[in-house]
Amino acid sequence: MRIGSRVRGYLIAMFVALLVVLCYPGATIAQTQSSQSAQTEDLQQKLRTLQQQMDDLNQALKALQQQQQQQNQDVQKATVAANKAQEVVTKQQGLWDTFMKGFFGTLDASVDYTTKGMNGMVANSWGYAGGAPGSPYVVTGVKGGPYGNVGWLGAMSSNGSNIGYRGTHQIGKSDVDFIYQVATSINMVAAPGVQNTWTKQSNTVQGAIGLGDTFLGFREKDWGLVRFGELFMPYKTSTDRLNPFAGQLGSYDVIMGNSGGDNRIEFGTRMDHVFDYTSPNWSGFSFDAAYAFGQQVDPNSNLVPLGSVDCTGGNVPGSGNLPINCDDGGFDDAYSVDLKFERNGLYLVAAYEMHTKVNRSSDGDGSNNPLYDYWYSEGPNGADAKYLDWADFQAYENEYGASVATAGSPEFSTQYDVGNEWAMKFGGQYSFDFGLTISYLYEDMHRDVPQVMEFQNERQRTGDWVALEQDFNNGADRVAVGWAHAGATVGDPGGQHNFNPTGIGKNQANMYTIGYWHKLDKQLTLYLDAAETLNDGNAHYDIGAGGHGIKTDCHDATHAQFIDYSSAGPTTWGGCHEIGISTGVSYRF
Amino acid sequence: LSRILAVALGIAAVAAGSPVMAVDPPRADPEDQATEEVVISARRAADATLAAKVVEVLRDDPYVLAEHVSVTVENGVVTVEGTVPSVQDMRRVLRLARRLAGKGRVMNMLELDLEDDDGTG
Repeated sequence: MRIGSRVRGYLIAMFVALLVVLCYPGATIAQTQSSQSAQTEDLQQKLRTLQQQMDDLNQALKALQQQQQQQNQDVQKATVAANKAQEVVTKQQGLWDTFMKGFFGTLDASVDYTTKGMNGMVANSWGYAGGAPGSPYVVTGVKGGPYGNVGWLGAMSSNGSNIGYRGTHQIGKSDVDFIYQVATSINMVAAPGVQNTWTKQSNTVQGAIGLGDTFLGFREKDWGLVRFGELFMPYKTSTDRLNPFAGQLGSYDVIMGNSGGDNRIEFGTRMDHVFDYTSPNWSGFSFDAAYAFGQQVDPNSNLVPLGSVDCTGGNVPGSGNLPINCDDGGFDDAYSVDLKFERNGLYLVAAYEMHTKVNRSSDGDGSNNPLYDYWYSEGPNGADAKYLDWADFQAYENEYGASVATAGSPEFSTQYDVGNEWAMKFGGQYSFDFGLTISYLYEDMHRDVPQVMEFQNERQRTGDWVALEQDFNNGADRVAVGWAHAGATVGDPGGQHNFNPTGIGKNQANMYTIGYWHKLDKQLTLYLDAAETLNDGNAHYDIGAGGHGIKTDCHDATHAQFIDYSSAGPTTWGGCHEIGISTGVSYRF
Repeated sequence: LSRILAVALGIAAVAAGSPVMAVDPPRADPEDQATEEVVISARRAADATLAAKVVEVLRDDPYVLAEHVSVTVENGVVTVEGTVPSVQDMRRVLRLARRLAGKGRVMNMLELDLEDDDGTG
């Protein structure tokens, strides 16, 4: 390294000396004036050429810089555009995800094996020993037995299946959201259509959009939620969580909220034209209140409400092979409220619902109650004529003739058999950390009718429900057992083919249900469920009410197309003993 | 800074243990106000973290369908809203939320999505 530096120093010194010698204009190197001038010009020319080359290089460099700048700008623009495109894609993906997330539903089908448990039943006609009220009841004749396949029967059933869509729209930049939901009930095992069977008639189309909770509304965090549309009432929804068997055989709806037995749930149904408010949650307390517009033109709730397709509560006019009226439970306005408290595993609830002007005058048609028969025997000029609707009866007779079955017997007078019905219930539930949940519900239902009509008041009774559930395997499995008890009613209209007047007050019922559910994943559940209903002599509760597709009830297969007088029409048998087992699959999204 | 953050987090932790729906009294002192702002920021961060955890746990649970459940957290109190398809799912959502938030710190605003109507009569 040191030698190299020294050599480089010598070379530089020599180069400098040579340069001095060459540039020195003295006589050491003789040159002519002309040659000097030529050399100078040559050098200047070279310098100019060099300068030109440098200028060219500078221009080329500038051009390159501009090109580079342009490319950078293009890249930046492209990046911005790409980012914007990504944002759009992300936003669209988010919108798509949000849109898809709005869909919800349940697809549920089961295979059932059930019996109505009425084979071999005997029916008698009854009257008064002395021919008038006050004397003992006596058997006056023997009627025919149950008709049809009323023993064990296999069936496939679509249960509580629905599809819906819900969404939220923020109003400007406010804290208020506009909300909406449309839903439809669907049938997984049969073609869609109106729900007309020999025991239930409805114009509602299974599979049509709008059948299900369908509403518009507004929600604000501190003020709560307001909805209006077609909705379940708070009385029903407030205790849904106490019922492990919703949509299955042995749901608590068989007895709870079901004032008269059969398949229809008076205080657990979805209603039209509902205005509903849900409060915020204040330290565990909350409440709901709802009002359903009756939209009744008839003062006795005897018409289909304005804007509806069925009588209030879901029956087509003439349900049960009756005259084309809404006199089998149609009502006017309805009110429903609940109050709830929840903290940790404890849930407490109280609820109340009222249906105004409930028309049950058709309870007189085909009545097997001796008191009704006595009033009827007195005729339109008898002492008790005011309790029966002789005017309409005679109008039927005049139009169709006395022999026509549709005029078989007069209904009760709307003056006496249109009244308010209300129910209240109190319930509690506790869920332990180890998976056990205990539920209890007490219910009291009333029908406000004059004392003279209490003999046929089958809408007034108490009810109890107890359920035990155990979740295990981290929520993959669940077993539940339930017991429901229907207390005795005040009276009984005697619509049962085998009505026994000595058994008034003996129409209690007990239902037992057991179920097992196994989740395959978040959405797919397999289940096995069994139920049994033990009816006292005049009681006719079923095992299928509450969303289960196939109803196993106390009706035999009689389907004559006239009023249930002298036991024609859909014949009900008190004291039936239904048993059923059901296994199925449920998919939810 | 780390001390302030530690104090803030400590205060946030205490605040998170306060009763449900508790409202802090107004403070006039600027220093206190500044501290309060730090506390609120820390609390919000803690709330957001808790909400994310609850959402994650619900999403990762193999059996609960929480597709239509929304989770919000305010002052450490978890509110679950939306709909679930069964009582089993409702209980599971509440149990999982309580495990993360603690007992007494979960507000249930869930609705059951049941189609069990049979009309009246």
